[in-house]
Amino acid sequence: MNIQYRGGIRINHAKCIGCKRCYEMCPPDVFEFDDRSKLLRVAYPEECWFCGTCIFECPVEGALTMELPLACL
Amino acid sequence: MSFHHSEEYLETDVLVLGGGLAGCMSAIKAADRGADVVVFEKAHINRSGNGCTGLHRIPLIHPDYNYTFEEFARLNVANAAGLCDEDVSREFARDTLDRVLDLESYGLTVRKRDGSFLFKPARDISPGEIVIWPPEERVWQNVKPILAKQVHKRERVRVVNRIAAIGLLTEEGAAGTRVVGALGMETRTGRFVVCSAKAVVATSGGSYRVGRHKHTLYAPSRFVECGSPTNAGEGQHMAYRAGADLVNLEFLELSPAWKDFSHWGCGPIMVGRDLKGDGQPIVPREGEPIKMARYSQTYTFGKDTEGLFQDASVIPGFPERKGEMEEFYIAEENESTSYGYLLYQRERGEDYTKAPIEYEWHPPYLHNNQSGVHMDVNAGTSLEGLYVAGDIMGGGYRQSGGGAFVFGARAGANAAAYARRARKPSVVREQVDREKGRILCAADVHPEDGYSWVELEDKARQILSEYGPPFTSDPKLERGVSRLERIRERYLPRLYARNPRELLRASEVRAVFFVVEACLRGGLERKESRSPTVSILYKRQFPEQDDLNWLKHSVVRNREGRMKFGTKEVNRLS
Repeated sequence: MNIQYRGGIRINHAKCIGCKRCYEMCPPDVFEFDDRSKLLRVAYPEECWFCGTCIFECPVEGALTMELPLACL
Repeated sequence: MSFHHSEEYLETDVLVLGGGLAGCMSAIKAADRGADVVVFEKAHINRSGNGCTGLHRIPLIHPDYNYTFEEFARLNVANAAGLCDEDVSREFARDTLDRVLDLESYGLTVRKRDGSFLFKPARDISPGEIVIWPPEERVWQNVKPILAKQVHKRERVRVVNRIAAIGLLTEEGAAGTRVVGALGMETRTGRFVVCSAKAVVATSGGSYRVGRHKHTLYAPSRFVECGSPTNAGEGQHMAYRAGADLVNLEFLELSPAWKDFSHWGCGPIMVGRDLKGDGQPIVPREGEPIKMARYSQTYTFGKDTEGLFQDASVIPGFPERKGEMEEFYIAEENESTSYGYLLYQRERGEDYTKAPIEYEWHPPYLHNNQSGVHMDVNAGTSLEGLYVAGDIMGGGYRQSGGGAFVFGARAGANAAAYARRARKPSVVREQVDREKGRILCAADVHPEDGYSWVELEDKARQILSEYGPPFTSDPKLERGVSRLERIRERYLPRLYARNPRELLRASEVRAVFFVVEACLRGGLERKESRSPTVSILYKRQFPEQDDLNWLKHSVVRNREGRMKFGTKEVNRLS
């Protein structure tokens, strides 16, 4: 069973500059960053606290966006 | 399964466990007293702990503005139904102005243009307490980066990010002796760090993963908790194993949160609390004085509460336990600065400033004033060399960042003073290996034969939720203890970890089991019902508050691996 949930952090790879600030700062450590490909991904979406640290720290507007789980809306 | 288990050794005067609001303040003050400091930070010090995305107020108690220190102490103890040490409350009040001035010197705005403090009466913290209200919503969202900058400016402080403290180290490797350091683990690599220290300050927060999550099994919101989900109570668990006195763990915080988004909450005021309840809601009439059960204040319904009161009785399904407690809520503040919370308001199309909004009970968590590692006025504990501050502490005062700043500063300064005169610490090798083994055993369990941290954590939280406080009985608590024991004996040893990250979660899950067990057993020990600040223990067999026998801290200690319960008198000013 592989259910897709919308809630979580979304990465706009066209805007992400690979600065790793979100990866460095995230309290529950949900990101993974591949140093070779400079690719960021949300590796542990279910452990996101929705605190928004990544969005506050991101230097590029719109590179990261948050959607809340439908259960919270 | 093998990880890279290399080990690094550090030596310092003061080791701070956790770089949140209290940890930053501790590190700053210890360094300013001339101590070398190491900070173990599980995440990144710039954005960690409950203040990671900001703080919306800090308390300021001063006779020029509101209360004398003694008056505040008395009121605070009354709020806590007697379970706060009065001297700790007074000392808290005494230091608030100095900490506000510290924060101002670090660059936070605390005054209006005319030089007066930015005050707003916060009716939901404690009686008459005045808070400094940030002038712009976003300003105080950067409180953590600003504090972290102060930490980094001090050359004596070495911050090690992504290191979780795994266990305290004691002088003879035995419980009850002087604390001489801690074992940490790098959360991304599994590398161990042994740090010997002349004094240790534990500022590792509360435990926010103990009540059953309302979205259990709904993957994307597993960690939508009221406080930082990175705090699972490991500090309390470590202190317990090292032999420190922990107090009042049967009282978990019970607070309302925005409906469906159990985030760092709202600014509610509870009134009309009726513990025994006959099922009838208490609906105040226009012009009727309302006594704030939680804060001993009186308001006039209508005049003071227009547009603010939420009559709980008209909200479908709320309160969930009708007949046991009836309350009304005021949403008068935006207590959260998290991005998710701002998004929640927007997406839901509700504005708490314009109309009452729906609340629900947040699952209970370990966070309140009275429950935690017992702290004295110097931020010391029952163990030599161990200091605490922030949400880990018990029996005193910690509300709204104020306790983190005040006792964080005291912990840092006193730990530094102690370190100056302390003997050289010596770490016992066997204890390091024992502490390592305690979590590394999860790496030896094959996933096919074992249980994930998620499944075990959910089970412990389920047991607390089904059998534990707030509304419980001795048979329920006994049943809960026996259920938990069985799970702990049979299934917790089968907790598996496939990587360092899961080792960290394994350590957290063991802390969750500890908190749940201490809460259930503590509930059995206390033969009364009591409702201290934002907390309730109601037992059917003992429905009354029994001040004659139980106006005392309940104490849990580690005695040869078993929980031993006792009591301590609450400290009163004469």
